[in-house]
Amino acid sequence: MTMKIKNSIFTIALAVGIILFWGACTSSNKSAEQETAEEHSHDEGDEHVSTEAMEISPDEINADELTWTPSADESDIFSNKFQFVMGSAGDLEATVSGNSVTLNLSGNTAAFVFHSKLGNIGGEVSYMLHGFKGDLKLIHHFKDAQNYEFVSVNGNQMKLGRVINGEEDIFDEKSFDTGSSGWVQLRVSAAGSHFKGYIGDENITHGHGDELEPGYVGMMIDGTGSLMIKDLKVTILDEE
Amino acid sequence: MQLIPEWAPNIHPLIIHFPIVLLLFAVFTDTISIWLQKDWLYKSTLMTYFFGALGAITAYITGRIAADTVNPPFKAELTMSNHSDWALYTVIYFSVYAILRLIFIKKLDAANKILRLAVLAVAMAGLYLLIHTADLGGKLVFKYGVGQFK
Repeated sequence: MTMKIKNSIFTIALAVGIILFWGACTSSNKSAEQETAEEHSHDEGDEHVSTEAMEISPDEINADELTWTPSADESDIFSNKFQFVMGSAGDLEATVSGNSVTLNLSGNTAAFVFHSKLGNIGGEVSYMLHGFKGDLKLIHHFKDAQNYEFVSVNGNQMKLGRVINGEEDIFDEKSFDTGSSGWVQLRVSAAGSHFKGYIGDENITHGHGDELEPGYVGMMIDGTGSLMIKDLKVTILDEE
Repeated sequence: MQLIPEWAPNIHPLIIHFPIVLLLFAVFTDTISIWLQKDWLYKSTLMTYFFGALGAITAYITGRIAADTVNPPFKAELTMSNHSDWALYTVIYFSVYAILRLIFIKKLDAANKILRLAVLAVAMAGLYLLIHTADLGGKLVFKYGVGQFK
């Protein structure tokens, strides 16, 4: 009888232990979330969200976002927001038309990036092809021309991958259908070891790789012909 | 008859509750079986671990498929990545645990309470992985609205 009572007490104690363990896990997650929320509200009040970005770059980051809309001043379409890391603004022969920019390329590769080094990001840009033949890339974790990650489109083919020491490593590659000719939204997300490429709302490519050190985010264009771009935006994905 | 209800974005939300319930219940019955020493309860517990691990594998696979069919906001991508990673850790942990428990079914059945408690503690530690994965999944749905609308 005494043994049975002892056993019952042990069982109840363990059951209570499980419940307390569960409660502790849930509350610790909630606390972490609350802390994150408080940090955000504080940061939003300061109109700055990334300490790292604040320290190393002159980018204006509002609500975790970097955005670019072309300047009406044609002599300063890119230089204000971007730094050219391959080629130059002259290689793009850019002209502003409304809220978009028309680029005319003659085969030289050009890449321009925001000034901030960023880790986990979501990037998007809208483009319209006017006889352009070549690769249009959203690049991120850019260290130098030999080391960066990207999502690229060439016609209706999308590639998701990275370049390490000059060697291309493709995570995923698929074709897509844009429906009608017109503006196409290209999106990429780099979250931890997960990488995704989207056309509009549709996920086209999904791949995995080791998480790289933060790097620059922007665009790389390699081809010939004319295309239009607008609404380049980068969203910083905060660690939970 | 269609397998997925018309309102459901994919089968993942219908599957995920099985491993959560089964693995929690397995730990609960495992605890009781240490003291009650009933053979039927011990064997039932092992089967619950086994089916819990199987459910976790199914949930992981359906989750991987579902991840490519939804359109999360950028802000949800990191949570989705972490959810996927923690789900994989949970699957590996409980799959290995269930297999080892089945392999050593006889030895553990005859083992003393201290050893049985130690083995139980390993399962209880695994519950943290399960709970954290579920927490991230809940955050995806209820904070970011992922998969709420077809």
